[in-house]
Amino acid sequence: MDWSTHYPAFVCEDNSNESSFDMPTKPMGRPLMKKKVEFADLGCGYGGLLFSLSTLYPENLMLGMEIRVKVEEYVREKITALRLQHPGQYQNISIIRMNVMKFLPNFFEKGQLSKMFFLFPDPHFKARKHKARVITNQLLAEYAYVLRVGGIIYTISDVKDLHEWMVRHLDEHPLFERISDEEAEKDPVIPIVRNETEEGKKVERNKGEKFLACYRRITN
Amino acid sequence: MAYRLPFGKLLHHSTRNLLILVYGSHFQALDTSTGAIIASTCTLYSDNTDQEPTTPQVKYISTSDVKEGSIRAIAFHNKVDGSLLASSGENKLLKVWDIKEWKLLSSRPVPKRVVSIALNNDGSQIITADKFGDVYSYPTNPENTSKLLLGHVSMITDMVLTPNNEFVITADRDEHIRVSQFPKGYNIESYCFGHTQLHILPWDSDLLLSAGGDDFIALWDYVPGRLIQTLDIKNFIQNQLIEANESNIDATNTISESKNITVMSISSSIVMQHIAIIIEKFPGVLILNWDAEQRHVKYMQTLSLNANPLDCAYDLRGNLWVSSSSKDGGDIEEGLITLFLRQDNNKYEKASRDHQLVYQINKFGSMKNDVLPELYTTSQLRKDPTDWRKQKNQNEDEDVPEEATQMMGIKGWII
Repeated sequence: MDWSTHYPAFVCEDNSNESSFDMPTKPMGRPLMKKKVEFADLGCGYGGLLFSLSTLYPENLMLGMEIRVKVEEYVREKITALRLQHPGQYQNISIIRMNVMKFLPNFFEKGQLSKMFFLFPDPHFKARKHKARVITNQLLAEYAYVLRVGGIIYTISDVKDLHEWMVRHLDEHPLFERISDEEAEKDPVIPIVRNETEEGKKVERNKGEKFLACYRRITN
Repeated sequence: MAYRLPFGKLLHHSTRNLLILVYGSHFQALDTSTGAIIASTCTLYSDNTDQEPTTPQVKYISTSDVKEGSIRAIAFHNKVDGSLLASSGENKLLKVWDIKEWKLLSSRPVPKRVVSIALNNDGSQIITADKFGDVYSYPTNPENTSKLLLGHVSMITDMVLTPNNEFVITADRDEHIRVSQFPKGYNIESYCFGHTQLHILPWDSDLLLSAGGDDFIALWDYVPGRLIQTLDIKNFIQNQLIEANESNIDATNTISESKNITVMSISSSIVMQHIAIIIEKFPGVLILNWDAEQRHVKYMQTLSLNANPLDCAYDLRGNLWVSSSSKDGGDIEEGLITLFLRQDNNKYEKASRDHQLVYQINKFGSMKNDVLPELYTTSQLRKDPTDWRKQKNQNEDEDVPEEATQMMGIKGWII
């Protein structure tokens, strides 16, 4: 994966190349980066979280992942615009249009991420669509693979049923441990998780409830 | 018209002279030291016009099948004292057979069609990988319940359990090879990116050979997920096809030069450290040998056939058994099974159709059926390489069409 176009400000100045991680079909060699992506917003939507986190953690690279074409385009253009309007800022955020459920391990190495966000994911209400939910037993193994030990998964939903589903699966998984609400509230990211996404604002307007659950990646 | 069913799958025991030959929903067992058919789930083939007096005596195994379905996956408990064989296929039944008594021990339903099976070292667990993308562990005792070990979002194309039983390796249709801990499948050790067919080298079990719809095969150090070697195999096939055309062998049903190749099957022999590769609709078997010093595979030769091979298996002496199918299901000059005998110099010599080791199976093996089952399923896994944006109806917002979601991720790493 060539990240240089996503984060041009973080490309090493000496033009050195790194060899790609093993992918027989792809040519080797791509610009060496000073940093690796550490935060991933899975199903980032209109990017509200990224824009807020960008200035809070200016030294951490973060990536939004979104499957809808128009939404991805909108966020990408907004990033470009923000970089122009605020020189030196918003260099640490980018977006990729992709299917997270299928291709997450193609983008990140083992233990590369320290934060993963699942904010207001699609509830897929019908029982036969439950397998399409973004938190499942099977997929949690992949999230545990890309998330380093000590890294955090943030989940939030206004749908109680989905919240309980996510909690149940994360509770059952041997590689995750619930962070108490008390401890979670001290995390500076939490107010952003709750209030800065488009979905979060919509729920706020409709005076809906928001259910938060954070989990830490542990060793087995 | 009735066809004589070709053997779609061959499996040789790792410590005994025992070859299982699968045809449709049935199988036969052959002693590879004598060429005698030992057991069969179906009465032996006989040609009415033939006056052959001595149909071999074999043990018939009752399958107790109500619903038939082609066997797609089969595995031994590969230990000297192991007496188990597990099979599953299109009828979504997992069956366990006793290969000493030759009887069906148990049959139980599985949720999805199984594509690959393995047994763990003590024979207590049967591991299945299915089209839904999930891997389950079933206790050999059918009274105990199964456990979900891991799952892929897309269908699994192949699975192997490493000889030390520390890892289960799965390949999916989205070019992932995932190395997960066994039995704790939720702990992913590494990913190797590529391919649908998997093969562990029995003489160097840290290494994994993978192949699929690409022009090359890949060799991996799978625990760290490191690529060691790629070997272009399309080259060798093309040269072979040119020769075939020159010698006027009917190549109408074989792959053409420009087309993609699809690897159907990989087998290896620990005796001389050879690897045999079967390519869809290519009338030959590619033989590679092993360079232990460099830890590399090298092309050695191509064994030519008059028909298209479906599968192959090495026996304990290093002889290579190949099953073939003609285009129209008609008679094949070489018979359904072709045997390549290992010579002292580690070269191969094709045994005649009447050689004692293949005489029985070519004469009495398999059965007649009105329809040929699906023989070439691997290449159907190939995706449409058209950019998803140029594919039909671009439905933009929330509702992403199925094709689009399939091609999407590839965009990301093709760069």
